[in-house]
Amino acid sequence: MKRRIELRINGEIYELEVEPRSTLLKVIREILGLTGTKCGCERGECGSCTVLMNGLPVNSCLVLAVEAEGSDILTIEGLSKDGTLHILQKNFVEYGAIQCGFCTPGMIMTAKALLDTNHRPTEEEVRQYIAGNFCRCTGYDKIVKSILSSALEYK
Amino acid sequence: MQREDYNVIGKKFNKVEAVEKALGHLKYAGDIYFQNCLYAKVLRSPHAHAIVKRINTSKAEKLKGVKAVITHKDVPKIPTWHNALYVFSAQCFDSFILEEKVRHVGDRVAAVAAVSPEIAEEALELIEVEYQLLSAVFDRIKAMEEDSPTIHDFVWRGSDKVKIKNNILATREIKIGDVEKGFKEADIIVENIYETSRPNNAPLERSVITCCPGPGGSLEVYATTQGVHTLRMSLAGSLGIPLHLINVHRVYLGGSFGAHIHTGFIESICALLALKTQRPVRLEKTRKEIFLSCGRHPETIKLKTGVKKDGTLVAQHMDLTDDTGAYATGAESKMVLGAGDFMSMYQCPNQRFTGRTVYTNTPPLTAMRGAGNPQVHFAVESQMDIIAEQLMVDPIELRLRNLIKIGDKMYGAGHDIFSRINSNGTQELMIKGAEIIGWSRRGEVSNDKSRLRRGIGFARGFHTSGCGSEKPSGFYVEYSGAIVMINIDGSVNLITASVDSGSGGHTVYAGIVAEELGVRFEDVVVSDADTQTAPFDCPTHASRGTYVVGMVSKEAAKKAKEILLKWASEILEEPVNRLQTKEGKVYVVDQPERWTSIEEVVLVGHRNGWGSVIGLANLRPTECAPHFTVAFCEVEVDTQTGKVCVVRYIAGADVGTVINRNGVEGQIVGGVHMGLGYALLEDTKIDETNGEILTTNFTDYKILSPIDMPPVETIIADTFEPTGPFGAKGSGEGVTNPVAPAVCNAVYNAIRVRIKDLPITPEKILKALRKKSPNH
Repeated sequence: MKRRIELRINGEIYELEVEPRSTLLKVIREILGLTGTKCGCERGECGSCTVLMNGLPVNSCLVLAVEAEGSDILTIEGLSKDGTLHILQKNFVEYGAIQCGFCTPGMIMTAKALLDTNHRPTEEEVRQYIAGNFCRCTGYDKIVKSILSSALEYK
Repeated sequence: MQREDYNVIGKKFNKVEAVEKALGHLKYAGDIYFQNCLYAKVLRSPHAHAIVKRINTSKAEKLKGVKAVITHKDVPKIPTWHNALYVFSAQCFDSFILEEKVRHVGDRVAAVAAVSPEIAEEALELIEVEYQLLSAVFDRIKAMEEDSPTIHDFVWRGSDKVKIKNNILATREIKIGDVEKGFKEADIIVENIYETSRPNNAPLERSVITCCPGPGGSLEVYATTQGVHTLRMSLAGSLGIPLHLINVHRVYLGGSFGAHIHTGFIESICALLALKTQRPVRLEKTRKEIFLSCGRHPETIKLKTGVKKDGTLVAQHMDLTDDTGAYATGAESKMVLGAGDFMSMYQCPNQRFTGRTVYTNTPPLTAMRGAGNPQVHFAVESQMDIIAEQLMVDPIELRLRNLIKIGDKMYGAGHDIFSRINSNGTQELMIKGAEIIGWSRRGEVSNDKSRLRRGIGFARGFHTSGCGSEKPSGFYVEYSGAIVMINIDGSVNLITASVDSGSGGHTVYAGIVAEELGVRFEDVVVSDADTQTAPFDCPTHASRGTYVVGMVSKEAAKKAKEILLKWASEILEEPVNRLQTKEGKVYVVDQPERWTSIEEVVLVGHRNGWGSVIGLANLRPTECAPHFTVAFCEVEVDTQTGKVCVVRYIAGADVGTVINRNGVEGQIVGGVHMGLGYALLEDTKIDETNGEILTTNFTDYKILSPIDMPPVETIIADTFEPTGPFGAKGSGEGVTNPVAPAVCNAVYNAIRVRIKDLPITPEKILKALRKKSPNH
C-alpha cells in the first residue's frame, strides 16, 4: 500500500508515492534517478550510501523514505553548484583520492559533515569520522590528505 | 634506451574519469536502469554436498509478477564457461549453469525472473526442493584421501573428458637441476609447513549484470566484468549461441581485485533468463553472494630449503596443495602461478616444485590481487627470515646474496611463461627502505620484557606485468589491440576494450598516447567501448594494464602519427623525418618557427577527402617484465591481548618509469591495505560441521579501517624497463605480495614467536606466547 510523501532533496521538493518499506536509498536511486549514492552492502556497514540528513551523515540504506519526510536531504549531486566542484570534490580529484570511485560519494558527504562542524580537524579526528566509510582501493591516505587540505580552504 | 624528458609522462595529471566520479555522475553497471526490466534472484543450496532429487517450481511460477523460473532441467547441456582468459584446451569445465548436484553451501539450484526483486525473492521461497544429502569434505588434505566423498567424477579440459581421482584436478612436477644432490651439499636444511587463509576480494561495488534481448536473438550486456570480450565468449559458449549476437558494453568497475574475471555463474543465468523472457533482466549479487563467489585460494605449503654457511641457496623444494573450492574457475592456474613465483624469487641452481589443485565442498575461489603469489611469498620470505637467524646473517644481506639479477630468466605467471629480467630495483629499494625504517634498531628488542613490544620486519617480492613470454603460453590468452584516432578538432580518441576497475589504467593509456602523439593530456579521450567496436583485449588482470595495454596504445598512436606526419609533410613541404610533434603542433625539427597545428593537418585531410587519421595496433608481449617490491614494517605487539598494531610501513616499488605518480602511490598504499588485511584480519570462516560460511557481511568480515592503517611511506626505484612503454612496468599486485611475511617477520622480531598460518590473530599470538612461557 503506497503512501504519498514529500521529500526535500538537494533543495528541491519531490512529491512521491512510495511503499512504506522502501529505503531512502532506493527512492533516491530508482525513483529520482540520482545514482551517485551507492549501495554496497544493504546493511549500513560500508557507508557507500551516505547522504546528509539535516546536515548529519546517515546510511540511507537504513533510513525509510517515509522517515525522511520533513528533513533536508543532501546527496552528492547536490554538492556542486552551477558546475563548480565543491572544494572536497576538487581536492579528491587533485590528490588522487579517487581510484574506483565507488566509496567517493559517501566519503565526500561524510567529510562535508565533518568540515561543516569542525573546521580544523586533526588527522586522527578525520580518520575517526570517516571510519564508517569503507574503501578497498586507496588505503585511505590520499582521502585523509584531501580532507585535511580542504579544511584549510573551507568556507 | 633511457628515460627522456617527457612532456606528459611523469607530470601531474588528473584521472580522466575522476571529476565524473567526484560528481557522482559516472554510471557503474548497477546505475544503468532499463524500462520493462525484470529482476533475477538465485536459489542457493543450504547444503554443502547434495543431489537435487526433486524440484518443484509450480508454486513459484504461479506467483503474480513472476515471469520465469529455471532449474537444471532448463539449462543447456553445455558445461558453463568459467573463464575465456585461458586457452580453450586449458579451461576447466566442471559446472552447468544450474546444478543437479550441489557442491557447496550457496551453490546454484534455481533462478527466478520477476517484476521486482522482492517478488523474485518471495518466489525463491516457493520453490520446493528435495535434497539427497551426501557427505562433504571441507579440508583440502582430507579431500585427497581414498575414502573422501567425490566432488567431481570428471571434468572437461577443453573438449577432453578427464576423470578426477581423489578430488585432485591437476598436478605439477617441475624440476631444475638436482635437488637431492643440492640438499646433500647444504650446510643447513630448513623445513617448514605454512598455511594460508581465505580472504575475500570484497570490492565495494556489488556485481551486477543486465542482459537486454534484441532482434534476432541478440543480447546487449552491461556487466561488472574485468573483460568484455571474454565475457562475450563465455556467454556465447555457455549458451551455445553465435558470438556475434552478443555485445558486451564496457563500464568502469567499483573495484574488482580479481573478483570479476570468471563468468560462469550469474552471468549465464541472467543471459538465459533474458533470452527466455525476451525482457531485460537484471541480476545483482547481494553482499552475501559476493562472499560466496570469490576469494583467495587457501594453500598448504611445505617448503624445504638447503643453504650453505655463507647464505647461498643450493636447493629448494616446495610442495603446494591449492584449494580451489567446489569449482575451478581458474583451473590450476593459482598453483602454477605459485610455481613460477617460487622458482623466480631467488637464484637457486636446484629447484623442485610439486603441486596439486584440490576440490573441496566450499565456495569456489578465484583470482585475488596477486593470484597465487602472496601465498608463496608468505612461505618463502618467512623461511628466508628463519634461515637468516639460523645462519646469523642479516636478513637483507641474505637476500642480496641470492637475488635474481638483470639477464636472469624469470618464470612469470607459471613455469611455461618466462622472460628475461631487464630492470630490477630491488637492491636500491632494500637499502633505502632499511635506512628509512632504521633497520639497525632491530637488535634492541631482545631484552625488552614490557607489555608492548616493538619489532621490525622485512620481506621482498615481485609480480609479473602481464603474462607475456617468448612463445605463447599454453595457458593464457595474452594479447591486446587498440585504435587511436585524431579528430578534426585535434582531439584524440583511444579505443580500447580494456576495463578500468580503479587502477587508473585508462588514465595511463591516455597519458602514453598523448606523449607519443605530441598532444596535451587533456586532448585524449578514452572512448566508450563495446565488443562490436573495440579490438580484442584480455581481462584486466596480472598487472598487465600499463605494460601491455599501455604499449599497444603507444603503438596505435605511433601508427596514427605516421599518417599525420605524411600529411603534414605535404602541407609543410618537408620530408617526414624532418618533422616532430609537441603540444598539438607539427613543426620542422630545427626550424620551429615553421609549424602547423595537428588540428589543421587533420582538417586539411578532411577537406581533401584523404580519410581519417587512424592507427590500429595489435600486440602479443614476449616479456612479462616483473615489477619488484619491498616491504619494511614496524609492529607493536600487545603481549597481554595478542593484538598486533602496525605502527609504520615503508613500501618500495620498482615500476620502471612512473607514468602517473598519484596512480602508482595509490596502488601501493591500496595494495598494502589489502596485504595487511591478509596478514592480520581477513579470512572467510567456514563451519566445519556443515560447510556454512560464517562471515558474509562487513561486521563479521573485517577489513582495515582508516584508524587501523599505519602511515605508509612510499619509495619508488629509479629504473627503466626497456621493453615497457616509455620504460614503464606494472604495479598493482607486486605491492601486496610481500606484506604478510613482512608483518610476520616483524612480529617474530618483537616477541620471538613465528606464526606460520595466516592470519596472525591475537588468539594465535597469545597461544604461542603461553606455549613459550606457560606462566605468561
